Amino acid sequence: MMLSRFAENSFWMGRYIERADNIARLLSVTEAFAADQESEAAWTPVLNVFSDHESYKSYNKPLTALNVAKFYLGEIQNFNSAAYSVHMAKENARTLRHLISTECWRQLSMFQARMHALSKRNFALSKVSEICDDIQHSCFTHRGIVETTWYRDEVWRFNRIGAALERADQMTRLLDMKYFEYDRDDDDQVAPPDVAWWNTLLRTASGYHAFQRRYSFDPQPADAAGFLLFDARLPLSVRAAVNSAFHHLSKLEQDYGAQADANIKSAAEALDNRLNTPPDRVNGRPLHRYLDQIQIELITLANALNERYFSPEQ
Amino acid sequence: MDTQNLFSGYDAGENYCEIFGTSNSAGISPAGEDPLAIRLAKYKLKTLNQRNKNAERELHNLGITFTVYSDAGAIDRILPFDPLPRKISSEDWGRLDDGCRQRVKALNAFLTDIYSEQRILKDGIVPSDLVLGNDNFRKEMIGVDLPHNTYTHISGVDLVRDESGEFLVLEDNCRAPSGVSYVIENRHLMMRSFPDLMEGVQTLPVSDYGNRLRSMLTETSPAHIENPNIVLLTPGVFNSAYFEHVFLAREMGVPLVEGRDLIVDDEDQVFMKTISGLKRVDMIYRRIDDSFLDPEVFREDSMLGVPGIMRALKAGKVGIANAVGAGVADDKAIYAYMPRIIKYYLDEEAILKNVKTFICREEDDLAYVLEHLEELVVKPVGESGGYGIVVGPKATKSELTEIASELKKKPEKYIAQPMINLSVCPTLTEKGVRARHVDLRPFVLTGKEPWVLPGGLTRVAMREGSIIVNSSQGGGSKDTWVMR
Repeated sequence: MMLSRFAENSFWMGRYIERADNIARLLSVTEAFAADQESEAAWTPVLNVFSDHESYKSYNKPLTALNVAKFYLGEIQNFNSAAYSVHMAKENARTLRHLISTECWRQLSMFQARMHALSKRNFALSKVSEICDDIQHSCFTHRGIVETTWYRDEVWRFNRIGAALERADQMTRLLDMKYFEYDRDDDDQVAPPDVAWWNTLLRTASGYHAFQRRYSFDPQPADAAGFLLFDARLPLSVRAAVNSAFHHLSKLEQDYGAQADANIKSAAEALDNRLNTPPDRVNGRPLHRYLDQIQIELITLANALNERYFSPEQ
Repeated sequence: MDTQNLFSGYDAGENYCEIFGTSNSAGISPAGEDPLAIRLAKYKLKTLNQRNKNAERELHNLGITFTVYSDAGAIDRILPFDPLPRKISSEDWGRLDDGCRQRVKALNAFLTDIYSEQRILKDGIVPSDLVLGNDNFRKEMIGVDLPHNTYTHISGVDLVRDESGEFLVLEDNCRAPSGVSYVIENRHLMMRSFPDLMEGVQTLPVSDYGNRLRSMLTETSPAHIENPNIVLLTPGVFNSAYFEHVFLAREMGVPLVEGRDLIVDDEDQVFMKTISGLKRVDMIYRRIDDSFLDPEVFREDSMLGVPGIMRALKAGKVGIANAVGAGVADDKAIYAYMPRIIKYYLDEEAILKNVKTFICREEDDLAYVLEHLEELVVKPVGESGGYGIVVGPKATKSELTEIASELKKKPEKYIAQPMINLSVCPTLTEKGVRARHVDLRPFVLTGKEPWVLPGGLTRVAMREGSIIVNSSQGGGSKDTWVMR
């Protein structure tokens, strides 16, 4: 018997933690890659992925690696930053405090305080990977606390659904960093193989070693992309995230009589079909377009959830 | 300072001390008297400071805070915590327990009467206009029957202790007395931070407050419902007492709802909006003022309330704690009549005395107050949180002139009381352990019968010499030990 408002807050709390985590991953892959190439232009893909060129302009700082890193780590005015995400996770948790464990609130509160301090702090580019690490570890800790202390009720289900959808969305963005540049219609090139970049990406997605085991003979970039998209056994893959969301949704129906409506069902089906139908080439423009489609379908599903559960007409 | 004895710089002066008693034991090493003091004296100041710092950090991390919102964002502040407990002997507690129950019984009888027959007004015990003309008197409640005639389900009785050690009632709180979460959290914090101090000490527990509260709310919900759905109604995260609302909802295991989560249908039934549709609500512990509760009846512009909730109440389909209109009983003007109100309904003498109170609307009292302004504490009626109080002995000439002219203009807006030298308690300060003034707010729950949570909230004025203990004026709190 959960209030619609709590469902919404829990959903967004889950989303924002994943968002913070993924920003940290995205920056650390960029940082690692930029360090290899000694190139500040390496940081513009981050702006591409979030379509943030406009909002970066209003940030009013020269486009340097350090400034972009600060924009995405500590800048509370940037709605795509880690600091903002953690702040919002806490604000959503605030309305759920009587429903979540005190351990969870305590950790999130301290996490938010550290992020707040970070937003006031001046740091060097060399600190970025350490900061990203810290954010990731705080997110690991958070998930562990949710996993081990939350009562398994609707609040928990919605938290997990939010987290799963965000994870799926963010993984498509992580992949798209490489393919964003293939957006032009007249350009249908195959991306050049770039082993170093793929290895970094796999590591960032905590999938490098698993990938080596899975594709032990002559792995290709397309294999890596497919692995991160479709392998249900890789926790951070889009498929695993989507499966997790579907699982929790079905439990809502079974355990709490909170049936999904036709819109949710058709959105879920479309997403499922999409993931069952890979593009003809897991590379270049087809992949970029495909990632776009997944993002749109994730948004459709989230909107359907919103209409059904969070702001129903009663 | 002498680190050998924590209390070597301690001086309670003329005041009653909550640990060492009256001040007439001069010359005796105070730590030699009291078992708690003996234990405390073994701590080094440095240890106390360190543990206190850790305890306060823990309060912050656990979010036992009130939130201040400003342009700079949300800032979570803690209520300053003092690690030196206040103790109450079992004899003293017996009397306080009886006295608080008696007082709340009388308050409920008074509220039942003024919203029905109004005998006390007809018999001329309390002036009619004082009640009927009071802003907190809600005529909408006349003739509404409430289970067990309970109006003030949750009450706070503010007590002070004078130089002789006698407990006196300073104020009643019949609306939404806050602070009970600190009573319980302070105890938890003491158990974590000072396990060595608490070991083997026999204090009455405070941890079953949530269960008691839920049982009481069940008892006072509309009579025909066996397993009522209870909710706690909060103004929301921006309210300074939001942590307490979280705490109480959690302790009771009930949803913490906002006005926008509830609706009242055409049949006057209250529902909450859940993911599985509308669910009935039977009992509401509300932490929203009367005037914001129902825009159909009270303030039309209220965004916090629930349109139609008064209809539901009158139809007997929902219970509201505390009852609408209970606030009239805790008004400072009614307070002065409490001894007579107790006598009238219960035919008993008040166990706990009032502080002598001058009612400035009465000519003789006003004349006396104007004559003795520099000795008296003047309080505006209808205010809370310690605002607008003028403490005569500590006021400047111009403050006294100003209040005198206010009194002449609007005497009905004020009461006055002699200055009580509030008791003191050893308190950790920057200078070491020093005497600071304290008060006590026991919490009383009333279903069929009143019950008092052992102890209550001890608030402490952290500033030297100050007798204003309100958190809005820099007050802190202490754990309160009722000894077995």
